[in-house]
Amino acid sequence: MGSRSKANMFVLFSSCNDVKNYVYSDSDAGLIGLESSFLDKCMDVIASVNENVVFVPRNLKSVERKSIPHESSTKRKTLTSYIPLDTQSARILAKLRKPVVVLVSPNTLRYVDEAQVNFMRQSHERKFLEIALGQFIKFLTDSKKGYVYVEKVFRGLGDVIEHALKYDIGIVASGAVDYYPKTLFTSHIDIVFFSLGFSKRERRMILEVYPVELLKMLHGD
Amino acid sequence: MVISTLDFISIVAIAIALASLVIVFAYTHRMWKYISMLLDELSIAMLVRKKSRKVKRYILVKFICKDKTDLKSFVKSLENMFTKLLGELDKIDCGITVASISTDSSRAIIRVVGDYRCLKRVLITLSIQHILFEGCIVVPIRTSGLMSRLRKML
Repeated sequence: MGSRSKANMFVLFSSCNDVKNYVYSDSDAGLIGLESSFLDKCMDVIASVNENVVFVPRNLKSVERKSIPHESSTKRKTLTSYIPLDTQSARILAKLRKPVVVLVSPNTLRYVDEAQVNFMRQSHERKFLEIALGQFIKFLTDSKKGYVYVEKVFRGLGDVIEHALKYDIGIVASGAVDYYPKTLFTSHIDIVFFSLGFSKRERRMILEVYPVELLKMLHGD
Repeated sequence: MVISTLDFISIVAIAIALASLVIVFAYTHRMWKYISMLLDELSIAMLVRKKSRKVKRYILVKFICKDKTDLKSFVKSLENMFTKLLGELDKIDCGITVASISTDSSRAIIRVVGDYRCLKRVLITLSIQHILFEGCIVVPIRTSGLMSRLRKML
């Protein structure tokens, strides 16, 4: 309890003080992803947080067929997740010769499926999948398409995670549904994976082991 | 030729063995029928027993509220929330009750009595309720089969 070892890779905040509230109320979160522009804006408040928490600047970027990600030359290292908008870009991302984080959400699940995981496995560089679990929960709560469709999406998600775990592709999870109070805490993420049927060891890998590996990779260790 | 007692015994033994084999072959069909009937009954009994097995689990939860929200009234509204998300039947089937509540540390223990699926359902309901409804955030901290173990953390 309160060990601060789990990671929530993306949380959306509307005001700076919410960051403090979140850090104090989620006593398991040790690694929190924030939007990079928000992080710049609220640097003072975030610096005054007394807990042992690592804040990671995050960025989301949509990728289409012709906009293949090139080396970006930013001052600070920002962890960018790529959102593929078609199968071809998903395949290019999976085969790219640099470490890449690909976002898995209800919209991109169509493109990032088990076949793409197979490509990632063959790639020479380490690849990571980011499960936007908040988006999946949002999809579950305001879906009007009926239970069969929702079940299909969650089954697809389970298949992708299982396949990736089997071949040791990194998986991280993020819980942003909407601005702060409407977000999944780390224990909620744990419970959602528990109900999807993942064992204690697999959940630990997703919440504790892979995020640290991803950070190490970002800083070039 | 004199038959010794030892030979006599062995002949009798062989005869008995043959007779028993004949009996076995003659009655195999009927016996197999009995055995399969017994097995069927046993498996049905096992299935029935598994279905009616109820597990009692306790969940320790933490409430994160805004300052003005009254905790007791929120816990009362939790019942409504369970009815909305799980449905009336499942709620009764899972036997959800708030066993203990502490306003000082804003924690509570929730008791779940039902089959093994109940715990998962209740946990996921608690996890996503703050996304659907206004009010406090419920964070399940740990589950246990013994209430005394959780009482120490209350």
